[in-house]
Amino acid sequence: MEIVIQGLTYRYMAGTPYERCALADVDWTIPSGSFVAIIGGTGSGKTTLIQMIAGLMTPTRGHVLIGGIDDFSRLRGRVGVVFQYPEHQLFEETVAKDIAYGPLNLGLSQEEVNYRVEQAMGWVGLPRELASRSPFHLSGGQMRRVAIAGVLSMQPEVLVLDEPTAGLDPAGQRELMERMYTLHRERSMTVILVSHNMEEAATYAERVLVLYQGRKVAEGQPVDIFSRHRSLKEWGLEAPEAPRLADRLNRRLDPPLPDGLMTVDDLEEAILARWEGRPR
Amino acid sequence: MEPIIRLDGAGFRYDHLQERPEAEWALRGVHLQVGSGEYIAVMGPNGSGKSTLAKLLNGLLLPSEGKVWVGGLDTGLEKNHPLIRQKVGMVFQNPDNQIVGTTVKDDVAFGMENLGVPRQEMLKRIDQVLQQVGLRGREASSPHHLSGGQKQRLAIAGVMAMRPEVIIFDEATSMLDPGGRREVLDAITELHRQGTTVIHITHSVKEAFQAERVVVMADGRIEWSGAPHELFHRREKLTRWSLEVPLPLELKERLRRRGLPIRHEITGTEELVESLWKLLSRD
Repeated sequence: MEIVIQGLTYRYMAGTPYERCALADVDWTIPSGSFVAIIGGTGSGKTTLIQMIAGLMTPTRGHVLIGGIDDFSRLRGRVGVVFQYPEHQLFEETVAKDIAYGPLNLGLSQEEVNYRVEQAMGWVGLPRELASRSPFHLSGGQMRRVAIAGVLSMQPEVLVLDEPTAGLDPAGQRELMERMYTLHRERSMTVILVSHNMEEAATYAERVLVLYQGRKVAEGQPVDIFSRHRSLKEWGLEAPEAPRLADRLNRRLDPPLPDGLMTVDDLEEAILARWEGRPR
Repeated sequence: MEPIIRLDGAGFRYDHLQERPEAEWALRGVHLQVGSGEYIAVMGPNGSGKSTLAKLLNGLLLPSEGKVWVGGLDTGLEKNHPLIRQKVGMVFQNPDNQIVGTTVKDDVAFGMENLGVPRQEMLKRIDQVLQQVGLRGREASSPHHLSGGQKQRLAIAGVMAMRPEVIIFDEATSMLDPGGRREVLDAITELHRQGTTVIHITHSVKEAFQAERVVVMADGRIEWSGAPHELFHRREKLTRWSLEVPLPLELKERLRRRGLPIRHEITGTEELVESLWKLLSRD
């Protein structure tokens, strides 16, 4: 489902002295089945934007069309949102019941619900024997997975992830992102990632939207966005470490290494190519 | 000198709270001393016992075995708790969960009111701590209109106003954007410079580098403890403890393995760039 965002604007407490424009005139098209990232500093409007994409807030002006539909009552369950620290929203007695909550509300048969719970647990890498355990006795990383499985069990076509890896250790971060990426590829699920982690945006996203003070200030491929070092600084952001290191080296190296080195793999190969091709 | 914090074989098991036969030790046999005015970073994967350790340090949790001493006071004795909690302040991960006042000023005052600090003294301290965290002039603002970094600095100000000897930061930067993160790290450095003992729990190797000593935890035990620069020569260990390997270190190792003559001692970005520039420019 393609997502078309047109002139999207949101004002908090409109008409009062506290009126504040959280989002102003944002246009953006997210192609069906793509993996995109929204980046921006605190207060840039990221969360406001995804709440409107999820139909949880009504825009002051402009609209969001999902698969050509702008009536969110017809989209329930097709857009899944994993909020920040989703484990705070767990509430059921067992892991399986918590994950089943959404599908049961869709009115699916018990058999179908059971199947979906098992499937979602597999997607997030939760061992089966945890199904009957209380979600509150699990580790933080496992609780996060239960909460994400609860959203995935709805089989959404669009998955919005708001800071999904915050607070996880580096190994846990990588595993979660890899699982979400696999799901995106295998099920052609559209993924919208909101992250402070520029490495994640650079590694997984095809397109990146940059918000600054409620406005769209840039949109493009990670390679283009993350080579704009000066602008990123102005927006309260910074490029991932690999392009920053490449930039520092290139300021002195003549001729410079090629553009678009986003990861440590890219750097390794480019430096090696230069080393092997050097005049002897 | 008597350390401000001392753990003698401290351990903690969560089965006090819930009768589960499979309850495991979250922390086991921990010996640790933190000197007054020291700045330490605590690292380790999720579930390694970092947060349990932090909660033992101000009596939020009591050790199931061994002893925990704060400024010479045994945390196992309930009568010591009020004094221990004055000595040890904590700043948590989520800035939104730590705000209680409707204005910046009220928020800072909250902790002091609980301690019964006289009004004149309170006003003096509010002014002082807001100055220190760079929020002076925002006294009347609503905390909810602050940025994430500002909210965390407000939380720090509230803790500082109670004049603790030790401040524990439990992943206090993990929800912030790069700008907010920098603000909080600068505030931590400043606190340490002024003599506060700092315990900074973090997943970021880069943040840990700011400390004087790094403690690595795994499976409820202290695996390693030493100066930050020593840790960075142990790439294999970082991987084993599922900590991130800093980019310059990873790149250097890979290039060395593929035959580039880069010196082993290099750990920082600046040195690596310098070295690569020389190698690649040589004709």
